[in-house]
Amino acid sequence: MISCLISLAALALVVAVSLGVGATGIDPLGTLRTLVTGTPASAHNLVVDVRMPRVLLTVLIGASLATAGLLAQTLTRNPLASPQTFGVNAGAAAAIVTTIVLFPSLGGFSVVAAFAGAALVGVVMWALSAASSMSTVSLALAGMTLQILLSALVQAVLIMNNATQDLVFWLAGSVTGAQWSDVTLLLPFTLAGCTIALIGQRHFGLLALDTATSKALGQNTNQVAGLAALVVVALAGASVAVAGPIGFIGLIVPHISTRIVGSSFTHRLMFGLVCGPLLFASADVIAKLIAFPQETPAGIVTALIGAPVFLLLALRQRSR
Amino acid sequence: MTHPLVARRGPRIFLSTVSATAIALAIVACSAQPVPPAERGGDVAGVSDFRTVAHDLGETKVAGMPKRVVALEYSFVQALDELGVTPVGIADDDDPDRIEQLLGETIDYTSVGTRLEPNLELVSNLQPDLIIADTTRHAAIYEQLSSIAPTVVLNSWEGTYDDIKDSVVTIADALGDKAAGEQAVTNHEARMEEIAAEIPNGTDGTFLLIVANPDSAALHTSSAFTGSVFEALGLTPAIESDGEAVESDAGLERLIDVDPDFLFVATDGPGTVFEQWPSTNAWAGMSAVQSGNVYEVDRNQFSRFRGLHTAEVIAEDIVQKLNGDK
Repeated sequence: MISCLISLAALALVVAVSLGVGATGIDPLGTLRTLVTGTPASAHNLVVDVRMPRVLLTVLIGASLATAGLLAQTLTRNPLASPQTFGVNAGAAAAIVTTIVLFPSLGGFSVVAAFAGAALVGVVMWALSAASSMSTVSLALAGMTLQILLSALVQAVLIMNNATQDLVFWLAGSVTGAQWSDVTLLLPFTLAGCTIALIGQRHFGLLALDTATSKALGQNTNQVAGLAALVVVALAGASVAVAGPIGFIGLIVPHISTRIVGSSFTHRLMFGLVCGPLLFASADVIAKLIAFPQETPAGIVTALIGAPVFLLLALRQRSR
Repeated sequence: MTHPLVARRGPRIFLSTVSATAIALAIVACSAQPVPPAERGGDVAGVSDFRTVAHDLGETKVAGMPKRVVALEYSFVQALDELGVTPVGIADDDDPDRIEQLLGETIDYTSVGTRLEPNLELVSNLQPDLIIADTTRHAAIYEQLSSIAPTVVLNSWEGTYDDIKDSVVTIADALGDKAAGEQAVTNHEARMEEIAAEIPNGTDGTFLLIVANPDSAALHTSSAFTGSVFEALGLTPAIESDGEAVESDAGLERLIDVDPDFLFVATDGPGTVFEQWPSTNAWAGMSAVQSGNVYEVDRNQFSRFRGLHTAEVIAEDIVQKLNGDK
């Protein structure tokens, strides 16, 4: 409980810093003043039109990816699972670049395509998970295979078509161009996905047990697993659609949660809803500052933070 | 932690990985056979009449008057056209319409693929006697290109206006008529002065070109081609830079921070931030927007082509917009 409150306070602090940092040099104090007084108008417009949707987007993406990662790990009983392991990120990325090559008249970046790609991979994964012959480990392997295949497809398209190179920053994971329209696009998916996870926590938590035990406890394992996979797709797919394939948040947040609040699915879920936004909002503040006033894709920062943190967690887990 | 299934399947997966790698290596080995040296060009032993052309990656000996030229960037195609040579091969990004727009006419040439990844086999098939490649994009394949034909490497991708002017002279030298290149630059500079004279009196302020992408914008500095064309016209680029030509992945806040007085937005078509940003109040507060000096321009001309004629097209476009506005 205390750790949750501390994290919430930290999140509030990071959000405030994020609102108070940017290329125009309007500082946190100036941001507060302009939000309260509404003047000067230029600063007010900047904070409301540019900085607010961006920080809100990082919070929503952080919560979505953390929840998606926890569900994916519980579902596959694989501590290395995440939306990437499901191939969802790569599915969305492949759909975007393919759309640009095949239908240039649609006008570049298509959010619908990103979501369709993620969903398509999700349907394949759901079909595989529904097939009783697939073990949870095979499912994770199938997901990784899909991910590798789709990443190769993205690479091939990038090399063959120069137009898609405008997307390299999106492909690295970036919220630089965050708009209110991105927030309104992502919000329903984040709300719905996290709500389903919260309501169904008892069922999803049972997925962590082996199939025989959860069946003995009266659970329809395939249905629950299918629903979990759908929620993962909705959360991760919508996130990728607005900010590109951002890695490591979905992977490490469940592990951090376990270390801080223990192994209960419900506790990890609640803590992840704070920890994910905290981590990604922090990553984006760092992304703003690394090469100030130029931008660095936040996805690169999450990888830079996430990889060592994950190694550390893995090492400490082994030594115990 | 290891699942029993993983342990059991391990060797099988390992074996299949090994065999897949072996197959991949075999395919690579087959396709990567050394390209036979071209019959002409490359080795000029026995020919006493050759020039040494200095370029970004060293010096290259070129004999005679090359006629079969392969150009791996748009600006080289334009330079060749100005010097009266039609390239036999162009890295045209598989988009012939761009070459037509670049030269104002349809020419007969063979595409050798994308500028980023030109197809060496297609280049070799054309049996060129001169290849003109880009410093940034083709340094890694310089050796392979040189084994096909004498290769001159010049800075187009990150080239300034002055680099492009110099490259026209270097290309003319490689073609065996350096004077023609110098003449082309002189004529061009005279034309640019004429255009610059039409800039309305009292035009004051900073100029910025941005390329609008789907999720961000790229800001062109004084070191970029169009940025240095602004300077050549006596205008002030909004971002001064000695090194970096383009600031990529810039958000609206960075653009507001730069706050140019004249903003040129280069687009390829729909689906960019130029459809989203203008609807915000933050955009409306920018100097260029307030004074009505935001112009949408053609991305090919303002950002991709980078030639002498392109500089004139850009300059004429700017002058027309400045005059139409006042």
